[in-house]
Amino acid sequence: MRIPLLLVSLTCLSVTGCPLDDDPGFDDWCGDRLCHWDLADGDIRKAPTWHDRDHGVELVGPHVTLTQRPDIASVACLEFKVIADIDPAAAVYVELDFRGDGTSEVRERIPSAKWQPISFLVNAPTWYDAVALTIRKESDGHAVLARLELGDSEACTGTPLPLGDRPPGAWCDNMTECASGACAPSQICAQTFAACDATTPCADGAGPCVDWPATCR
Amino acid sequence: MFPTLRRHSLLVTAVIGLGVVGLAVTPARAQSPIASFALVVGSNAPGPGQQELRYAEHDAAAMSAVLRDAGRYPSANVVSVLRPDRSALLAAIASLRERLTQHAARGEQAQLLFYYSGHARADAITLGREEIPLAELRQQILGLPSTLTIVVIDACQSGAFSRIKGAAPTTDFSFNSVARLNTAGMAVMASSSATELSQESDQLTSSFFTHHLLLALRGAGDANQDGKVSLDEAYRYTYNRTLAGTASTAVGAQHATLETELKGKGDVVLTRPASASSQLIVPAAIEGRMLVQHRASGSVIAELDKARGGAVRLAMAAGPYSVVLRRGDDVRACDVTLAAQSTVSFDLASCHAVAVDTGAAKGPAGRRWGLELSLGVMEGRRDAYVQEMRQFGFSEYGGNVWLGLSHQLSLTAVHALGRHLALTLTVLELDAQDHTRDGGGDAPDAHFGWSAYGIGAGVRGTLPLLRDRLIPYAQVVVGPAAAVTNWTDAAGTTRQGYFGYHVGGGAGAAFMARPSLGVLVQATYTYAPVIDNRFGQTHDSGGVAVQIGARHAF
Repeated sequence: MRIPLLLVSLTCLSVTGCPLDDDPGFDDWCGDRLCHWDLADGDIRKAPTWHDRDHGVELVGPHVTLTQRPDIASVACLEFKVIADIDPAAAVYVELDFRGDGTSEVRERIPSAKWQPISFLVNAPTWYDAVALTIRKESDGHAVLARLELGDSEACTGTPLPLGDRPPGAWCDNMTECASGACAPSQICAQTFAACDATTPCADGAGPCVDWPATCR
Repeated sequence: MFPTLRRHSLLVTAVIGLGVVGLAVTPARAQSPIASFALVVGSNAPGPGQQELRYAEHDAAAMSAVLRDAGRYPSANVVSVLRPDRSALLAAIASLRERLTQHAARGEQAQLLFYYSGHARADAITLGREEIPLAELRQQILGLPSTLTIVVIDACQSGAFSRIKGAAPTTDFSFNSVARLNTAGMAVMASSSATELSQESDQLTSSFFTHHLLLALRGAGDANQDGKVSLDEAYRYTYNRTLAGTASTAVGAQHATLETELKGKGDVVLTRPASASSQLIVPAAIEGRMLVQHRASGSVIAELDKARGGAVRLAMAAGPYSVVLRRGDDVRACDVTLAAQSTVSFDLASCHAVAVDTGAAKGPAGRRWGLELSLGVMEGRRDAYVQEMRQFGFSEYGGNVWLGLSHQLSLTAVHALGRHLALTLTVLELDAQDHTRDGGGDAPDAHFGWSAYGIGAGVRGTLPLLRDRLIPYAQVVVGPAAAVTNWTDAAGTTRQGYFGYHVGGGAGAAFMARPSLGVLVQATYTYAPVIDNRFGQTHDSGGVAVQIGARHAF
């Protein structure tokens, strides 16, 4: 039985907007490209912000796609923050793909602004083990982004995003979330996290056999 | 004492040009009444390029009072002209001429004292924007039909005024004492030599020369204690006291001069303090440095060093006076009231002791300059500029002392214009901050900070208290400001300079443990918009500051 590991790979323990993405300030450039972002489409360049030496990234042209896969999993509430200088004509979106399969479950347009801070919350699915963060520009117009952060928050309300077709071992609340259609609670040895039950007790030193949240079978 | 230059003109060969009137005095005329006239002129008005004088008009008024009180000049015969223009002075001389002519026509003797206190330049006296050439003034005075003419000039290089044809300058002469005007001619007493400057004293609220001359005329100059002050006595006293008083000034020693062309015999009596209506007698046993001040006006009537062994009689107007007598560390103070037609003897036993204050007579008004070094803290302004930095991930506080506080060092030069007003020049630190942004992960950290400075000119109002031991003040300052910002990250450091201005005000107090040394505490508020960003937001490098410091007065 595959027992999922509960990984909360937060890069910090701050409860307010601690950046989970890499290089939120667009400070790390490898030549004319950002070191921690993939430029899948279009062109970008450095753009000064409040100071000549403090740069944001300018999305050049009508089609630009920047992606990043921050190392996070199962953070319940995500806060997206950015400082934007976007003309009304420029359509810029932020997308989150919680399966890593190329299909975005969240797509929000970053509104036009003149160096204003913009943020919004995402009530993430109860389980995911990877997320792809994408910035997409789909029209012409001036657009510069700075201080883009994807952080952990506790301010989300409402229900989490539904996410089905979960593999075995993934957390689940009901069977419809599982690819197998089966969602059941399980037990693990407290010290070793090895599966156990009445017929398969924990070995000596492995700790007691305790209940574990429901997972897909 | 730090005197001010009274008149700073170039040399004035002010030959007031007193001609010998040449009226013979005969025994048959000895019984005729002697009419005493005085034309007293005082003007603070500056000419082009000259400073306004402070006490010339006050000195002229005091001279008029002394001539009436101690000199027994009839009030109607003392013509006082203050701040005249050319035509007003010439008109006064013309009016005096008419009156003197009437006396001469009746065969009566007349004594004239002409006193001028004011500016002079080159070869003219200065009356504001107008001048009267000395040659013209000489002719005017020379033409007055008086038996005896005494000229007193209190102006820079006034010794040159007293060149008289055929007269040899002298500082020492004596006459046999006679009661009548048996002397004719002229004499010129000048406040300084031909190459010296004449000085005013804020402590005496007068010029050195006129103050001591007036004191002599009141009676302090009565060396032989015959109840009369002669020209000789007045000059000796004034010469010595003026020289002693100016010897330690920044300008230097001032030597009064006396030039005479007199015929006849006998003392030229200027005043008769023994006949004055109100007198203060300082007994022979009293010794020490004495300051007599008119309580109502605050005017210093007399500052004299009284030696034991001889009484001093001072003719003064009726009224209330404060007297301070200092003998070493023993300081006594009295209130003395002179009633009209009264003689009061100074009684030391009725005085009370006061705490020794070596700076009492030489307070801020005496020490004109100050230097202040202060250190404190300034609150860093968290304005839109700093808030924008925080938006971009920088730390909220960046003061170099703690959180938003930065240290502030300032150096101020103070120049007192009087007891209650001063000019200041300050060099000061404004705020200094250093903010950090954590790059996070592999991204580089960034540091951004700045230092700002200003230099400003200001005006300060002071209110000296407790014998100038405590000096509260309030001030305003304005001037240019400059700042340098530093951006540092993995790519290196970039510096940028900015220029702007600062304006501020503050209040504080100086505690002077000694007349020349003390401590101060002050609080200020400064507005200094100097640094701006690419968004057009400007940072105010000022703020509220609190400082303590040291003050040196000199």
